[in-house]
Parts: sequence; C-alpha cells; structure tokens
Amino acid sequence: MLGYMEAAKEFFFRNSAVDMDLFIASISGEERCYRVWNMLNERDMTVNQKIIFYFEEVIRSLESGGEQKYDELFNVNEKEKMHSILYDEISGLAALEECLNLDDRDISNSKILLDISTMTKPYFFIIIQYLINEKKCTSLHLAYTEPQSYYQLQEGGYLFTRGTSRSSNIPAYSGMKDVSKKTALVILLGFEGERSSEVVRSVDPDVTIPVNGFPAYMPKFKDISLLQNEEILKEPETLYNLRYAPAKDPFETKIVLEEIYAEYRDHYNICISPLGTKPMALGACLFALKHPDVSVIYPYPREYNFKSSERYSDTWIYHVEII
Amino acid sequence: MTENYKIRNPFADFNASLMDEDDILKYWTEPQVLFELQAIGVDLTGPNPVVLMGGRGTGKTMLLKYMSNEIQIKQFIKEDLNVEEFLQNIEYLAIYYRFDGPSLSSFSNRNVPEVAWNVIFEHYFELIIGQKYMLMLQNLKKNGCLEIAPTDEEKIVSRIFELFSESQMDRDNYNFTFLFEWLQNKQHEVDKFVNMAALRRNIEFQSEPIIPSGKLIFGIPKLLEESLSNFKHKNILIMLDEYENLTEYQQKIINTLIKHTKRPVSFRIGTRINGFITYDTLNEDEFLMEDADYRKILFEDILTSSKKEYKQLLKKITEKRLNEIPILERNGFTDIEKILESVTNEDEALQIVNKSSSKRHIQEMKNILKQKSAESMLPTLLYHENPLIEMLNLLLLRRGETPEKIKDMMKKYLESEKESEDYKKYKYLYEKNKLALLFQLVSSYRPQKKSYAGFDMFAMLSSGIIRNFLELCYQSFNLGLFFDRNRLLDEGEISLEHQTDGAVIRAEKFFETIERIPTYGNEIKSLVQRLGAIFYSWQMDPRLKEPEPTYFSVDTTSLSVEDRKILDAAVQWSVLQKKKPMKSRSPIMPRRDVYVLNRILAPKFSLSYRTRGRTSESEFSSKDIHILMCGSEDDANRVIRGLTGEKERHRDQMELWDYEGFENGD
Repeated sequence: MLGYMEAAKEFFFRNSAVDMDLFIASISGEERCYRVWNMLNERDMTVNQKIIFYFEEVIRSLESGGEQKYDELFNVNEKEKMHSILYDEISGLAALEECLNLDDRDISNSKILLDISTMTKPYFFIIIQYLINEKKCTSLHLAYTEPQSYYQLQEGGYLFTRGTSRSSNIPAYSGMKDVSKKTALVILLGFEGERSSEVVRSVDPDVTIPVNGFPAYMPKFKDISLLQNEEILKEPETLYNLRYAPAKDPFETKIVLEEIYAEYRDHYNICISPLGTKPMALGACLFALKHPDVSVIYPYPREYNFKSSERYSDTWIYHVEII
Repeated sequence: MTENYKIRNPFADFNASLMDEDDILKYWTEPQVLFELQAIGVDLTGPNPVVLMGGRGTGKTMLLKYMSNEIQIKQFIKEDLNVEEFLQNIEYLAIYYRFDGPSLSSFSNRNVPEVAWNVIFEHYFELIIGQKYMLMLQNLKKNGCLEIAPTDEEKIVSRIFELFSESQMDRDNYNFTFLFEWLQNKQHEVDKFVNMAALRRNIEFQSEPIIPSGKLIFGIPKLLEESLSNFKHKNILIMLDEYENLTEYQQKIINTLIKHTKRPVSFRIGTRINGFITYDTLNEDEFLMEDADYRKILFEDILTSSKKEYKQLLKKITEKRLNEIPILERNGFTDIEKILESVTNEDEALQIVNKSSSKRHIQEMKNILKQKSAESMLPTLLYHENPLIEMLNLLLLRRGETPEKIKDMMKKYLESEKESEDYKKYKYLYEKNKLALLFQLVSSYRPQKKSYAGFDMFAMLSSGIIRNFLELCYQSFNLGLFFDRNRLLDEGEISLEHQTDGAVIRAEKFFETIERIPTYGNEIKSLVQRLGAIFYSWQMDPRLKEPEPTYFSVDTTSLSVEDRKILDAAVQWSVLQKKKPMKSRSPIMPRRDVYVLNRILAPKFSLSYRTRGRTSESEFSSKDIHILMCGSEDDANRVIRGLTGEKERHRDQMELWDYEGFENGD
C-alpha cells in the first residue's frame, strides 16, 4: 500500500546533480528522446546502469519512413537495449525485470531516473507501479523534456495517433469497483477528440469530468484541446464539470484529481483517462497509485506517430518520495 | 430574460446509459411491439432466456434498465400504489449489470494460465451477481416492499453461506448488508489480484472460498423462493448488458450458465449484432442453440418490420420530451409529425425548377431530341406542373423510346385512362422511379439540395435505431431554435431547410464516428466512402437501371476471415445492416448476404433513403469487397470504375473519384 507521497519539481539539475544507479528511457524519432541523457553526460554524472527501450513498432515505423532514430546518441550497447513490443506492457515489464535481474535484487534505495519524454503512457504507468509497489522504491526521479513545437497538420489539428484498437484499463490500474456505485469518468483532455469520445463510449459513465491543461505549454493549446473535444463537451453537464490543471505540472494535476475524488468518491467509482500531456498523465499515475480503487483507462491507438514533435524545450525533473 | 430565450433542446439527452433512474422513468415509452412477441415464443418477462440484439441506440439499455428492480419499485411508488403489495403484483424481479469492457480485458494476461483465469472469472461473476441480489433485497426492504424479521434474514444469509462454505462466521452479524460487504471484500481480493497479475510472473490466485459457477447465481434465488412466500413463482431475471464486451472465454462461461439456466433464474442478454464471439459453452460438445436455449429479438428488424408501430413509438417518445418544454406544451406543439414540415416529391421538384431561370432538364431533353431530329416534339413532352413527369420522359428518351410513344403514354396517364396498357405502364414507371428522378433532377440544379425532411423521412433515415431519430430531431431543433426561433415557438414548425441541414450534420457525425470503431475503423470508413460513391453513381445512371440502390450483396463464404471480420464489425456498429440473404439466381450458386448502408448516411452522399430492387451490379465479388475495404486509392478507383461502368456515365454525373470531400448537394 502506498504511503504518503512527497514530491518536488524543478528545472533539471538546477540544484547539484546526483549520480544515478539506473536510467531508463526509450528511443524515438524525436530529438528530445536523448536530451536527458545528453544533460547527464554534459554534467559528468555517473549512471551505473542504463536501459533503453527499443520498441519494435517505433523502429519499424522510423525505418520505413526513412526517419532518424536517435539511438546512437545514447551510446548504447546490446545489453542495454531493451527490445520490446509497445502494445504489450506486461511482457515488456517482465523483460525489464529479467534483464536487470530484479527478481532477486533490492533496488528499494536505488536512485532511479525514468525519462518519460517519449515513452507511451501505459508503459511508464506500469513501470512506475512496478518500481513503487513491487520493488518498494522509496524515491523516483522522473524526467520530461518538452518539445519546442508539435508538427501541425495542414487542416490545423495535430496527429499523435491513428485509430483505436481497443480501450482497456492500463495493466495494474484496474481499480476496485463498487457495484452499488455509479461511474465518474475523469478525462485529462488531449488534442485528439475522437479518443476522448471513444473512452466515453467504452466506459459509458454516469458523469464525465473533463480536465483541460491550463496554463498550457502555449496559450493556444488550451483552446485547441477544447475545440478538438467538442463532441464530449457538447453535453451541457460535461461542460459544466470542466476543470483545469497546469499542463506541465503533475503535482497540481494530482491535487485537482484529489479534489474531484473527494467530491465524487462516496457515490461513484472513479475512472481516469490520461489523454492530455505527459506531466498531467504522470499526475494521474501518482494519484492512481495513492488510490487503488481508481481505475485508469487508455484508448490504445492502432498506430502511434513517433515523430509528432520537433526539437526540445525545457527539461523537468519530478522527484517523488514515498514515505 | 423571457422564457422564450431559456428554451432548451428537448432532445439533448438521448443516451440511456447517462440517464438516472428518474430520467428513465420520465422518458420511458413502452415499445409494445417488443412486449407482444409471445406469439413467436418470445416473452420478455418469462422463464426462457432472451437475447436482445441491436445496434447502438436501438433502446436495449433503456429497456433492460427499465425492467430492473430499482426502476420498477420507483414506478410503483410514483403510481401511488401500496408498496407492500409490490411483490404480489409483479411477475418478475430483475437485476441489471453492464459488462465493463475495459475492466474485463484485464482478466487475462500471460502471467497467469488460461485455466486459472477461467476459475477467477467464474468466481468474480458469482460475487458480482451475489452483490446485485443483495442490493435488490436491500432496495426492497428500504422501500417497504419486503418485510422480513431479522431472524429470518439471518437464516437466509446463513443458508447462502452454506451454499459454498462449511465454516460459518459470527452469525449475529448475518443480514443482507453483511453478506453484500463480505462479497464485496471477496471481489476486491480479485481486483487486487488482477492488478498484481500484471506485475508478477507465475502468480497464483489465493482466496477462500472460491465460489463455483452457478452456486450463488442460481442458489440465492432458489433459497429466496423457498424462504419467502412473496418470492414464489417470481422469475428472477439477470439482465446482462453489452455482452459483446466479454472475451471469448468469458462468454463461454456465461453461455454455459444460460444453457443450464435453473428456475427461477432466467437471463436477458443485451448485445450488439454479432456481439456473440462464440456460442460455445465450457462443455466441448455443447453450444447455445437459438430457440432451444434462448429466443432472440433483433431490434432493428422488429421495429422496422412493424413500420406503423415503430412510428407510433417514435411519436410517443418525442411527445414526452416535447411536453417537458413548457412553451411547446402550452402551445400544443407536441406532435413531432406536425413540427417536422414535409413536402411531396412533386412539390419539391417544382420548387427546385422554379428557383432556377435555366431549365436544365429541359435543355437535356432538347439535346436528345435534336440528335433524333425531333426537336419539334419537345412541347409535347413537357408538363410544367410536374417536372418529375418531364424527368420520366427524359428517362424514356434516354432508354430509346420514341417521342411519339412517350407523348401518348403521358397523355393517357394524365387523362387517367386507367384501362389502357400505356396508362398502366407509365404509372408503374412513374411510381417506381419518381424519387430517383427527383434525385437526378436535384443534381442538375446544383447547388440546390435534395431535402431530407418530415417525420416519415426521419423515421426512415433512423433505420430502426431510435437514437438516430432523436439525434435527427436534436440537430433540427438546434438549427430551428437558432435560426428560426419564432417559427418554431409560435407556429410549431421547423423548416425543410433546417431539417435537411440537421440530417446532413447527423450523417457527417455518424460518418466521423466510423473511424473510431476499434480495430477496423479505417477499413470500414474506406468501405463506406467508396460505397457512397458507387451508390451515388448508380443513382445518377442516365438510364436508371435501378432506381435507388443503397445495398450490395456478396457471398460471404468466399471472403477471407479478416474481410469477414471487417464486415461483421460494420454490422455490429450498425454502419451496415444485414438483410435476409438473397435467393441465388440458380440452385448451384451460393446464397448471397445483403448489406444495406445505414440510411442515416444517405444525406452525406445525397442518396435515397429507401432500398429498392435487385440488380446484378450490386453483386460484389470477394475481391471487390477486399479492395473497397483495404485497397489503395488507385485500386479502389479501378473497382469503382468497373462497378459503375464509367463509359456510360452521364456528363452531369459527379466524377466517380471525386468522393473524397464530397458533400451533400455539392
């Protein structure tokens, strides 16, 4: 059972840098995927062990599209490559466990840095759950590098994913339902309105509470997400329930979710769908870890766009302490 | 601010899942036609299991929820009846449970053997239904419908524990609430295990006791029947909604329970079409057999085959909603048929032609006559009072009929010489083709649009799906309230134009949702887009081989497994509606399944809202279907050209490969 969580946010390495026992990241077609690793090197920080996820789907997509994958910048050897399938987090986690020999290893006091910048949400959700609840890690550093901009489609929207293959609970986040209660669905709004509609269709909630990212990375983003989610927001009650949480702050997001939880938990099973920014999703993850009755649902796309942003902006580190 | 400005759209809420119990009671309209199926062996409240199959929005959830004990008790109280007599007065008691797809998918992963998941799910389902029974009993008690002495309650709970466990706990606590909480704790053990199973390899489920399948599901109702006189001869209905959300092994478990139902329990299964992934049970040599093990109601079929009853149902449903808006109720504007202005085909044709200074269809007729050196015959083929007559004459000219013959036929028709063969033939052709001719006429007078308006038209467009009808009303009311509020509130009417725009918006929205269909959304969207182009092209065929083609047929046995799955998914999501297979043209030919494009999409592609006739063109090969679903643009264009006979295209006809971005009336 997760205890109280203490957390802090700061620009990466503003304070004195710390050496890391384990660094976990993933490669992608976006420059920001190696940004944290680069910063570690620039500051001569020691990393005892690193694991870089090589998702088959990412490699295939980048190779077939002639896109650059930034793996050489990680200076990674074969043992540090974690070949996995994006859509099978459970197998990916098992492979990670095996690779690091975590079965017999106590890492509860290890300094672990997980870079979630280009990792899919279900993957970092399950890894964090595993590290905290199974390996009893008492401290986690989570890094996130903002993109400088997203590639925009000609018609004005953004393309991060295509289609839906299924909507499922993220493994290890199925919650604990009470059959006497109704269902409240909290959606952290993203730019892909059809995905929120798909979640609403799958869950069929009694109440929907949308949470929009505000302040957003860029002022226009908060409006884009509202426009893109018009389909669910046209329901007067859903629009009335609209809340805001800062797009780059997981801890503030968690506080907003705590408020919603306090308001609804007596009569509703709470279900969250993290479709917004990664930091907001991280807030949902930390919140769900604290409340095991809460379930987390994710509309798995048929395809991800592995090159949806260009260059990089600020890098953040989020420090989570489990007391 | 006056009331006038505060008016809300009476059709804003149409999803039963989002309605609370009071809303369901408020908007409930009994679909009599569904409750009167005993003649064909279907009894919704009786002892035999019933599968309620239908597309999204057909009203399955509303019906199942309405029958649940919670709503039935509320209804009883609302009618001011003596609650103590509730149990004497009802034939059945029902519990409602919706299968939550996202959660159920967690009951399977490689860290736990499949056989163990079977046991865990059986146990879990027992715990869920057990809790539902307890909630029902608490609800009956709370509302005064069931009076039971604490000692009797204790005995019942004690006997329930005996069903699956020899060891007994502190009996002083035994009551329905205690048992509910005990079952809930056991369920949470399963929930925790499911979460842990994602993180740990070779994990084993440990809980005591593990409840075998059927112990509580059949055991509790039997005990209640034996222990409580009010429960005697009452059917206990387990209403399971969204059966399609279960995985294959989970369906096998429930199929087994349905197959071996024990009185007084019976099942009602709500599912989409093709929602049964399997009819198998856990016993290898047994499977669920329709009629022997359950009866099936296919909502769209029942509703659309009884057109009169369906329309009456729609009128009643809308009347309740319109009555909720005080200004409409006060002004007596509660009849949707009157609110939705309609127009005859003839009047619409006349309006279209009169709006334009150039008479394009007449020019076309003139061109053909010129080719035949019979320009002087033109005045004899005109009939300005009804441009559809002129369009029929144009069609006959294109088919090679002589102007003189056409003139004679028209004359006999207009003069009602009913005995003449020419009259009969002309009348037949006119009645058969007039709607298609109207579509062709409209396409000659772009940018004018074919109207989709009127109660009958909306009922047709809804394709037996009540939510479609309510959505059409919702969109029309939105536009009516925004652009022509006074006409709606003072005269109780929504214009043809606003209805048509509403129908187009609805069609577009329906089309957009196709992409979201899990797994096969893109393929189904491609198919629909390409079918729209093909059907439109056929509809614009200058010789009008078939007036309103909106379907295709295919020998499904010749399709690949994947292609069949795509078609099944399209049917499951009501994008296509499957009709009875066509008889083959020859005994040695296979029967072909018929798929009709959901009529709600008709306004998007400017298609007819009816389905008529049978053409050999509509017979697609398995290769055509595959390419239309999964093929590249080039390949699909080749198939479309082949199916529509590009060379014969009329010059006014839209480019066949213009279908991307094609909009109604453009």
